[in-house]
Amino acid sequence: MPISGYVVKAGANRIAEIRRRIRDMDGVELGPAVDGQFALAAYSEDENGAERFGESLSSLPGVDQALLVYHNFEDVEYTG
Amino acid sequence: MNRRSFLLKTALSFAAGIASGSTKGLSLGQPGDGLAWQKAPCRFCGTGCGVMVGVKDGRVVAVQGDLENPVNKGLLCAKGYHAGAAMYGRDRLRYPLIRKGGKLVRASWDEAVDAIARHILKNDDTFAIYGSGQWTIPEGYTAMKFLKGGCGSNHLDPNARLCMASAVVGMLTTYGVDEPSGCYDDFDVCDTVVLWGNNMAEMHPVLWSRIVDRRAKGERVEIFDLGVRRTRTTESADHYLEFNPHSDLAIANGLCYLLVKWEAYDKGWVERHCSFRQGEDGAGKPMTFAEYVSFLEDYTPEKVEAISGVPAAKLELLARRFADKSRKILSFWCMGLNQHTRGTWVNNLVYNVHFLSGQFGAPGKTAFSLTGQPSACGTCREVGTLAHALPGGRVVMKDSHRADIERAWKLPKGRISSKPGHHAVSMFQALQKGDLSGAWVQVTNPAHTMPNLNEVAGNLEKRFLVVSDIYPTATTKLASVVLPSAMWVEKNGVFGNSERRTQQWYKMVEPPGEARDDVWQMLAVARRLYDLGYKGMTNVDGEFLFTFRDENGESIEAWKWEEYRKRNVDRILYEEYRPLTHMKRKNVAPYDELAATRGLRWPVAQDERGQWRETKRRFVEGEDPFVKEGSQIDFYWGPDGGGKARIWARPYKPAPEEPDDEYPFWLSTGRVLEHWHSGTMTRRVPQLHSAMPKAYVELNPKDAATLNISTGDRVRLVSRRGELTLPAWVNGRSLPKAGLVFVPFFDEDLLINKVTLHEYDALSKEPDYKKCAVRVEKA
Ligand code: SF4
Repeated sequence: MPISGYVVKAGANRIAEIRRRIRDMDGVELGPAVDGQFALAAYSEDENGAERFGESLSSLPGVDQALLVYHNFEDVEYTG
Repeated sequence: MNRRSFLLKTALSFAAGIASGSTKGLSLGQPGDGLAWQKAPCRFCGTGCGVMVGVKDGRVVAVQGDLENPVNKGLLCAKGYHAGAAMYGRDRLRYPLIRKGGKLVRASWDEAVDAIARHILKNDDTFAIYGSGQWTIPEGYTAMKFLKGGCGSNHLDPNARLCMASAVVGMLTTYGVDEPSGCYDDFDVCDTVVLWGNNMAEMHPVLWSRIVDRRAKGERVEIFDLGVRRTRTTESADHYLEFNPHSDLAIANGLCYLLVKWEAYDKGWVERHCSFRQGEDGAGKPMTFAEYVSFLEDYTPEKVEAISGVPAAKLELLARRFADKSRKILSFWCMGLNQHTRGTWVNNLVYNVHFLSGQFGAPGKTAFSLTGQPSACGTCREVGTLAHALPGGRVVMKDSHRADIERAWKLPKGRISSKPGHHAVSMFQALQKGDLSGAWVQVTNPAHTMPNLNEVAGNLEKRFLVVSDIYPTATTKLASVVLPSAMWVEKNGVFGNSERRTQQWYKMVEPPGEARDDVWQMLAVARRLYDLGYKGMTNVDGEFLFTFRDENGESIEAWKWEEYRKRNVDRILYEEYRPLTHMKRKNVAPYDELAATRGLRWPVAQDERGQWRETKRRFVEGEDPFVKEGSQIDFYWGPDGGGKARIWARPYKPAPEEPDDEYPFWLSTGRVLEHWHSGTMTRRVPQLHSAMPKAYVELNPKDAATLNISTGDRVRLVSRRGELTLPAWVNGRSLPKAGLVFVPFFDEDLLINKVTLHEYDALSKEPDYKKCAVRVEKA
């Protein structure tokens, strides 16, 4: 159950559209948008899911950067 | 509220605070989450982001960006975020291993330490240490004292030789002392960014965000991207200047030509702060301004276009920006300029452009070399873990410098050799030939990362190779002895980042199994040598070279693990090293000051109230405490004296290997966002591994069409040195210029360094991983 917090950065004119797309994703909560960026928190079933989510976030059309600010992986066992 | 909802809320409120800029009230670490939080710098890149590390039940279970750290203000990139998970790969090395009957078998620490000491006892002058920009400052300092002070040999060099040596020699030959003048604060005020072969969006994403965020807030920041392939950085650039590999020398000279021709250079600045120099070596000889002007005649926009492929109009556009005195221009570069057979020269030339235009030494106006590793600056450059260097900017060739260090370490006169040792490539060539009997490799993976692997890193399995690492690597496979190391917050540490910021952290969790700190490993071997009667490990008082005393003057037996782990040996080593930084005015801050802050940028000085003050911009009056009053800018180590830096006439010369009929493509290699260098850590993090599981070759779509290659096809790259078959990627992450292919080097199963060239810059000895000629065949 990894929990991640992101700051998503995008052109101000794309924010609404990006947020609409993300809102439909499972396990995601959105914070308000300010100055071309907004916060988001997400949980995933496992670390791979967390990664796929991060990847899809970064590659959404209009997203400049999806930077991570928080990651809790307390119930994840050894990896690799 | 269940635990998941609580953590989700925690993550959202923290991220929202950062996104909105209202971080007041946001805590460092999250109260009520049951975790113990402490600060540490990220252990991945040279940016030096602050990370808050959350520990529960003796294990790192969470990380968050450190809001209090001015480097990243709470943000992290994917690598930093996974710094915690990278510690918990299943195959962490947990026990010492010794090769017996051709196999690595479990051994005791005592056995391993003894085997290493006995090899050195017989071969002290042919034994090398190969270290890393991921060494902490105390680790690099210990290695230096062990080999240069203890064994009297200078065969010590770091992997940083492969990534930033050209920047070092560029600065030494330009302003007489290593490391940048500017700092990250300049990123927040510049209005024009020039990227010299630097994919900052992917390689230094947090620093990149400092620039692109300003645009999001409506500030005008113009970006020029000079590159050989379009990258994610190019997407944000206003202007893309695509150039032929190696022609950056001509481009920089072309900009200087135009500034002089238009009489748009800053005459006053140049007269006050610069001297002119010509020649191919590091010393050169003086030249007049008129001679310099005539040298530049070879770099008219038309001639530069013919060499570089950059249209004259685009060159003029960039020159016009430098000619505009109202602008604040910031240049960035990293491996693109440094991994270059003319790396020192091209570094010199970027300074030329900034000096001629007066774009230096004021907020937002500087030339900034970025580093790839977390302590390439702190350890390799400041401690000086290089084959010719001694701590604090000293060199082995100078009698007075050796004498200083012999005094500081209480060594008999003459113990430190005046002969520089083998630099990185030469070290592995000497191992290959048998001129060196063995080496101790720490925190790096040369069997993967050396250029031209087949030739340069052959025969390692026949030498006495000791490897200290955290995971099995291509190098541990060849080792005689493997030592399991503690990683990141499993030990105390101090790093120095790209902007001269020294940062400290405390140990937070125990290393797995019997893994132990690299510092302890070296102390244990040094002590075993001492016990075996090896004179080198004895100081002039007849004591062990690494004699440490506690506050009561009692000797600390730090070579005993149980004793070592009870103490903060890092603090002792760092405080022993700190005064050595004063000679070159690189004064680093006291350990306790670092512990209490998010690091300080050297040189530091105490104000009248005894408070430690850092220096944002070196050589700048009012900022740098060592600058002479009234000088405005004072290059106080300027090699020609008078507080002046050099403008160099360095010509464009072709690369040592260029495409021809037989090998018609350029090959360039590099990193990818997800993976750290050779991927030994990041490839163990499943999410990073699944994002970028395998190396690939990127081609320009036109070349791919001509060769009938599509994404996923297997492609063979053949050079004069070796070949490699790997999958093609067309229209992927980046768009190489026509005639160039790009391969990332992280993949241990697809070693592109079997194909690369090992030619290196004559001055910095840094090899060129960015350019060689290959044939491209559909496999
Ligand atoms: S930018 Fe560098 S220092 Fe910052 S989190 Fe990423 S890898 Fe770590």
